[in-house]
Amino acid sequence: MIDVSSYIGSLPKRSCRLTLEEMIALAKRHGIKYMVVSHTSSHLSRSPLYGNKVVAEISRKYRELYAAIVVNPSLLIDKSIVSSDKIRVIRVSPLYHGYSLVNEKYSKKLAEIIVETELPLHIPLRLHFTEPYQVKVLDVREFALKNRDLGIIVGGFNYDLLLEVISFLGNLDNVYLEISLLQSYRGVETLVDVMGADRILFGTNMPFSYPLASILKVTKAEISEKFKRMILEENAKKLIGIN
Amino acid sequence: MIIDVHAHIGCDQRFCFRMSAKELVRAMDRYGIKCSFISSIKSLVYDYIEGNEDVEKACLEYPKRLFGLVAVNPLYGKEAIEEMTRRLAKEVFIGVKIHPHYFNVPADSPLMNPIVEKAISLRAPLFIHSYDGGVQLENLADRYPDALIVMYHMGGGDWEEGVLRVRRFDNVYVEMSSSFVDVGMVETAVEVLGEQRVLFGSDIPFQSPSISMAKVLEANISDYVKEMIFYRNALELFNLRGKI
Repeated sequence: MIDVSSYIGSLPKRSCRLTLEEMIALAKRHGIKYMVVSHTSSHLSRSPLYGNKVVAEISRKYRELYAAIVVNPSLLIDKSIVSSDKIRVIRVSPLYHGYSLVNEKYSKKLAEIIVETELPLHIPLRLHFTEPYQVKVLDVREFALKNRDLGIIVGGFNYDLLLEVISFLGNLDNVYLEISLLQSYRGVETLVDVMGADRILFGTNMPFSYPLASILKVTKAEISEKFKRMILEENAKKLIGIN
Repeated sequence: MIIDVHAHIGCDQRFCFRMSAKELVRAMDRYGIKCSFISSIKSLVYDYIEGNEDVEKACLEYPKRLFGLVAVNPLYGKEAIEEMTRRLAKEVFIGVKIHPHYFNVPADSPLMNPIVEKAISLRAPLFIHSYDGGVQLENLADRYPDALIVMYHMGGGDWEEGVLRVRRFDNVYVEMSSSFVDVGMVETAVEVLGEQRVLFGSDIPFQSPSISMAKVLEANISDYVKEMIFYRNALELFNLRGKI
């Protein structure tokens, strides 16, 4: 399994209850081979630099970790950080970083860096249930429509946004949906029905959530074994380039 | 075996939910849930009496698998008391469901008094939603030491505060469903309240049963305590031996 949505660090209303080693051990126990992590401080602070350096370093140290660096297009971007081959995703937090995804000045700069690095963009609509929404689904749609060549992962939504996500993002084939915060019964089945299994990605929201919840959401889902493998591993392999 | 003390039938188009009794029982079979305590979403978002009617039919259709919670809105005063009394006289109903948020009545409102007093006189447990860290429920429990209360959601996101607030009330039990799958939730509840006061609930279809199952299965507690939470506590507390 490949977890495309986990973190290191704490959140304002949720402290991290697992050390990095405990988190890796827990993932391993459940058969999660790789995790893509960003540092919460990169999302919460206006400047993501410190957190990006930390995840870049630890992803070199731990075989199981790949790094997601956080980009704030309203600031200068340190492009040297993406030189490591363990960095596979760019994440954004527009609310915390004080810009709008539909402001052309910033969306253009963001698109440029994604094209330049050839990394997919991951937009967690929120980092956890205790966190505010970072961006509107309609803004994600506008950005995705303008940048049809970019692979965009959207996560951090629960059933309250399910209809909106399906309605506005369902027909954009460059958008992938990540399930770490989608907790409702048949949520995964609904996404598969509407979007197709090839655009759904597995995520856990570790260390704030137990990974078993997301694992069971997929393994207990009434979908074929082939679709389960796609969601748990194969889609991420293709999109993020993990072998 | 699992006893789910928090489940729903009914539709909610806002969230793409459609849960018939048949679909619920099918889901229970898939997740190893022996029986569920149900209320209807219709009681929350449309008409509480019509919802109760649906619950009664569902329970009669699936005896031993589904047990009813009569949802009553305290704003309806005498009518609510009559509805509660009428339904609880039927064997398929096992308790009373209160949703302060949807009913727009805080759990500690004086409007709740007649409901709670009637429940005490009928020896019916009250299942009350709590998302506020247990603030309202603590006030209510303080007034009614004789009421058997199940605090749904353990207080919500502020679940640590929720369990601490109800610690001193031996008549209050907690049910752990919510979107939160925080590390340590169940361990904390067991540590603060004791293993006998923690109950399994899924809140299906708002939550997949996977969510609460993961919280229990991942908890650093013994297998026996997990069994207590999954079914033993509910079996004893609600006198379900021989009925399921």
